[in-house]
Amino acid sequence: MPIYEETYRAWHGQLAARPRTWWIIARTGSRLRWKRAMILVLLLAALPFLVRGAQIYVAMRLGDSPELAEMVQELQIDAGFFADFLRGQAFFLVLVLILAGAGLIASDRKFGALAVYFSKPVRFWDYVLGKFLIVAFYGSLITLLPCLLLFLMRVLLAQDAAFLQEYYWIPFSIIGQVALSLLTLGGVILVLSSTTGGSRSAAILFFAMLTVPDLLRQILPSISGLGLVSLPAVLRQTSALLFGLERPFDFSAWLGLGVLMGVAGLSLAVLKIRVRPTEVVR
Amino acid sequence: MRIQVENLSKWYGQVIGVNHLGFTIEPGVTGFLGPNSAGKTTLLRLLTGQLKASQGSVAIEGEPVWNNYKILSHIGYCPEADAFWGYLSGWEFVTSLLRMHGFSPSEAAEKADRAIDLMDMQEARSKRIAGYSKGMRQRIKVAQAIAHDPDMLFLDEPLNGMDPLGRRATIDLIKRLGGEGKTVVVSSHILHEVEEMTDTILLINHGRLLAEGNIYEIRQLIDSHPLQVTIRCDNVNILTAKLLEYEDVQSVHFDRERSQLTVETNRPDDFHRRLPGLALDNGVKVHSLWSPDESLEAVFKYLVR
Repeated sequence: MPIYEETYRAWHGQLAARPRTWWIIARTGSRLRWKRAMILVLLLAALPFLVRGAQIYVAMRLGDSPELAEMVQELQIDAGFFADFLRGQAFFLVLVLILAGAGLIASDRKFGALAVYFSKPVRFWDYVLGKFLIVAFYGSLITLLPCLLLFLMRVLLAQDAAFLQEYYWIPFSIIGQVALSLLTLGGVILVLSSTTGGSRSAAILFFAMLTVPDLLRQILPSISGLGLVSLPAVLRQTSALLFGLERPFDFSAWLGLGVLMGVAGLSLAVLKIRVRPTEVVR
Repeated sequence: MRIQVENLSKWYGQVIGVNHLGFTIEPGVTGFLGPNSAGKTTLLRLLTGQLKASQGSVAIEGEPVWNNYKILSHIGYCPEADAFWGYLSGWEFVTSLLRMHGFSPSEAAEKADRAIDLMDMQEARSKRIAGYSKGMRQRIKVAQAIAHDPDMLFLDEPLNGMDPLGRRATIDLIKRLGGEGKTVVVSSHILHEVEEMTDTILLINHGRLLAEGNIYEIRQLIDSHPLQVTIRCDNVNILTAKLLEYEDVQSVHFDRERSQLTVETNRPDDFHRRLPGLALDNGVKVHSLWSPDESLEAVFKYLVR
């Protein structure tokens, strides 16, 4: 019957190697989010870094000056210094995550692009990893990168290796704390992006999810363990654990770590349900 | 590449998307034809591995499609609904999707250029998709589906919103790709669109396969509806008298001028074999002969009513 069978090209099962689609999703997405608002927030987020950098320089190079001696004495550059820097960047991190992540999946769902994505050699994990790397990239630009640079600066400006010998573990703490923040907050913003109608509602909900439980914790200090429902509080507690500082809250830091892992796992489970190319028939 | 579908069902809760489908799709153009909500899109998504079957299987050259991302390198898919990011230009859209197939930036650019040229979108390639007309958006969707030169192409209502020239060019492209040995599956609810692209069709309604094969074969399945054949000739009376001698001829109708007659027959093959001899023996000059029933529309009406 069909004449086209004569031109049929046999397929012998040799298929092309799988491309790293997660990397392409991450690269393209990161490039597309490099917009004026994002650049402005990144520049604002660089100000604390410059101030902290100046503090380190003054402490290390001008500490002998009699005029500055008192100020330098008060300024201790230890584990707490870096933990404080990361905590100070939390506000900018929220802004950056909103700008980078609120529309990431929402726009794909809105434009029906998931059907196109998943008709390419893209798996769920490629998609989610690609999207996560976008928020992780921008989040790291204002947390991980400057914090590690500050540590490097402190080490390079030192006259001896005493600081490095005492605090060699700080870079690992920085990496650990940033990873926890990005895994949980990044996961939450991706979930909200996938479950809400658009980037604006995702942004509002994200902001509310971070502030309302924290306000409750502050209004009702008598309720023990309420901090566990506040992500900012839990992150402060794990920060204290990682940087070897006094715990600010009465709940166990390890329990807090468990909460963060639970949030990350739950986010992944929700994404698994929401990130599908299927149409919904009702 | 050959697609084998066995006992395929998909349901969403209480709603049945497709129901116990079984067929094989060979290289060439195959049309999925059915009214809106017939299950065509669900079926296409099952065939492209985007949906997991509730029951049954879809295999391409023996390999299961579901959860088999390697197969996707060989597939081009053009969804019915708009599926792109409006802030990208058409060229960026096609290029970024090509990169997901593992092409280098320069290869992706080259292939994107070729696909965009093929779909006659050169002038609008740098414009944002948000500013595209419906027809342009449709063409850029087809461009992304064909850009990586897939062995299998799944096009869901590809001609929607296209202008007549775009339709013509796209139909020609689809036929050419089918002729090259690619497996092209086109879904549509517009009868003449599918008819222009292929004779091989699957008729679908309410998630069920009503019929498959070429239009004529499907027509033969409809025993309860005799085939109508219209003959334009001289000596209409003589031919009518001779035709009525045969059992398979159910009825004969004349037009007012008696320049043509329409015959209803139960055995079209026998009828067509017999007619030239009858005309020659009785000195009847046949000017033209056609079967209004063989149009896809007629077949569709019979089966979907």
